[in-house]
Amino acid sequence: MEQIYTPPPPKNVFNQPNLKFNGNGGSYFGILIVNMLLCIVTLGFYYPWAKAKKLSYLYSNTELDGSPFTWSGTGKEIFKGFIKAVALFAALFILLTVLSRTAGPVVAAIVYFIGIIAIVPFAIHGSNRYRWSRTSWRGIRFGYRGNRNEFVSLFFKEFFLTLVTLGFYGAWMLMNLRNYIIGNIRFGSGEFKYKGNGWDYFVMNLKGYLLTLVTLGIYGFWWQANIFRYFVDNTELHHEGKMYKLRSTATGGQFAGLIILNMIILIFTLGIGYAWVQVNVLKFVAEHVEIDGDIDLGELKQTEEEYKDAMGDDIAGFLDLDIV
Amino acid sequence: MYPGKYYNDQTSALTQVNITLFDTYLEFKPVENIKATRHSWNFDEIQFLEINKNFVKLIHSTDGGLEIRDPEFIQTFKKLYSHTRGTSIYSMVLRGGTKAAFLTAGILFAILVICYFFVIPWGAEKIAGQLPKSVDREVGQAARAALDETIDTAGSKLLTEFASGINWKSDDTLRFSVVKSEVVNAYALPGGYIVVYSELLKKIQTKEELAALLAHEVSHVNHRHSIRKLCKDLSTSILVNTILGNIGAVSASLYSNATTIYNLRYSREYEKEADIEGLELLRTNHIDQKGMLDLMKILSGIDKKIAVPTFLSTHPLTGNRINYLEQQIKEHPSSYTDMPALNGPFRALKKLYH
Repeated sequence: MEQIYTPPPPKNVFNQPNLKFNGNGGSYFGILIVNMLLCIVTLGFYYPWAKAKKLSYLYSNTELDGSPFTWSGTGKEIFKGFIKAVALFAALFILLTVLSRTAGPVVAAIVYFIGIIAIVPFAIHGSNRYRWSRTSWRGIRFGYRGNRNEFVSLFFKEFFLTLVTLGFYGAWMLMNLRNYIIGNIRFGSGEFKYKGNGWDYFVMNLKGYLLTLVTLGIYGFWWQANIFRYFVDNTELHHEGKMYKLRSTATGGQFAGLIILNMIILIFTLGIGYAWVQVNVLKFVAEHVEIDGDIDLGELKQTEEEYKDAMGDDIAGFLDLDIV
Repeated sequence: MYPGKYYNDQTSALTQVNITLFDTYLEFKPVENIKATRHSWNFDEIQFLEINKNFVKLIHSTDGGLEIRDPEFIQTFKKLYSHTRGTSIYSMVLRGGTKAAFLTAGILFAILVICYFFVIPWGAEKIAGQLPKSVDREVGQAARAALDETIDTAGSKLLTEFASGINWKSDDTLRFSVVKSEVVNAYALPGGYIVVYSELLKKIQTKEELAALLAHEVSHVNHRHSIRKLCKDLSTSILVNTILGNIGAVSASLYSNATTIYNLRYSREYEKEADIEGLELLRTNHIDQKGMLDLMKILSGIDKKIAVPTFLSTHPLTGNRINYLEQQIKEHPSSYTDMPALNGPFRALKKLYH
């Protein structure tokens, strides 16, 4: 009888760096509440610094292989981006007012729609450049190497196809954009790859949707687990011929536990428990992502430049865009 | 000497080092390589990141960083370092833990309460005072379009004729309308649209009462109560939205506030003002002020269970109203005439709605 046997990789190279989130609800609540206080006292002008504080807390409490991530963005950068973003929206608003007076509300509505859609890819691009450039681990900066024109034309092509197929192409659009974005993220000399496939993603979501309907929503948790797994399991990190694979260990049942617990917290604290809810989610994500492969995390080299323009990130914030 | 891990910003390799602390700087050297050069960092070149009680990160402006998990080091370093730096409200909260967080939350709540009850009403009144009258008209038109009530033309004509016999002392072009409805109600929209429901006209017995009702509604218009209330509600929703950080919702609330102005309830304060200013209008026109009192008595006599009490519920308690109206009349006695010009239209109205 033939036996299939794969030898385990040599012990000294194979490793499983641990991902961990150490934040706790109480401290995070403290950060958020001080942010809120200062925002109110300054009539909202503190917002960029508040955002920097929040990100700094969340990043530095996320640990990979015993070392924390560091957010090095500053309130000043976000503030400058914020002002530029406000100016952009103000310009759009003035244009719309003029148009609706001269050319009528229909034209203005169309221009508004096109304007917002046109801003989206620039915002995603800018946001990724800024966010990743300000993220570091053991001094090694992340970076986003995407080319703006390339990404914008890819976005419009995909968006157009989604539009003419009445949304059916959406799954392919999402996967193609994600492949592009994640494929351009660098972790120093390490390169991320994402291997999403529109057809798989479409089938998975169609199945999830139908089963959720049939089971009166109960399957929704398992659908969620599948979406999460599809995101995590298709992500890889490559470095000098070596590789890390990410793997999700989250099950639908665990997702159900997390979501139900968080809903109970939110309802019974009238929303004040939001900090604890977010901490629960981040802990959950960190606990359920397994990393294994043969990269030596000590060998990553500094390759990425600094990028300090936060405008795209602020626009993305205004439009409530989900990055990646 | 304290243990720490050093990275040099070139690669992600971590090196075990031994750190020595001095008053204004620190020095460290790799544990395994005695011959390596000593690094020396001044405190003012270091960014201090306190991740938690037992873990800190020191980031140098040019020479990499240190990760340190030694409680003793952290304590000693913080003492030395804090001399060169001020302390922030965040570190206070992080150190104070949940207790400090809740204290801050308490302060925040107090600020919100003060804003809600004092700052916002005050600011909103100021803003409302600055708005031109054209805003009143536009809001009124929007509200009327949203209401879309069928106006009874014959009754409206008679009511307008009745109202034209009275000097309203108003800058607005007043428009009086009657709407056929089973509800006992009357309302005024900004910009001068005054609507009386037929059911209320049925209850009214004398022309003085009708004059008093109109005087009350015109006073709402003259004192721009709708716009003032709108400003207050808007400011409140903007405050709420700032806190929730949701900018997009502001425009939505602007819109819904304009269209549902009908649902605005005058606060009792505004109602009282309209009552008293209404009396003043009656006096200027030499109409018997008792009409207002009689109107209140009619309203208080309505069986609240049957008539939808929109008019009553948002207004001051009728007993209370009668009291202050009686006092006002006592304080400002005034002569009055019979106003024969009002008789014709009033009788015609009563004939239409009986």
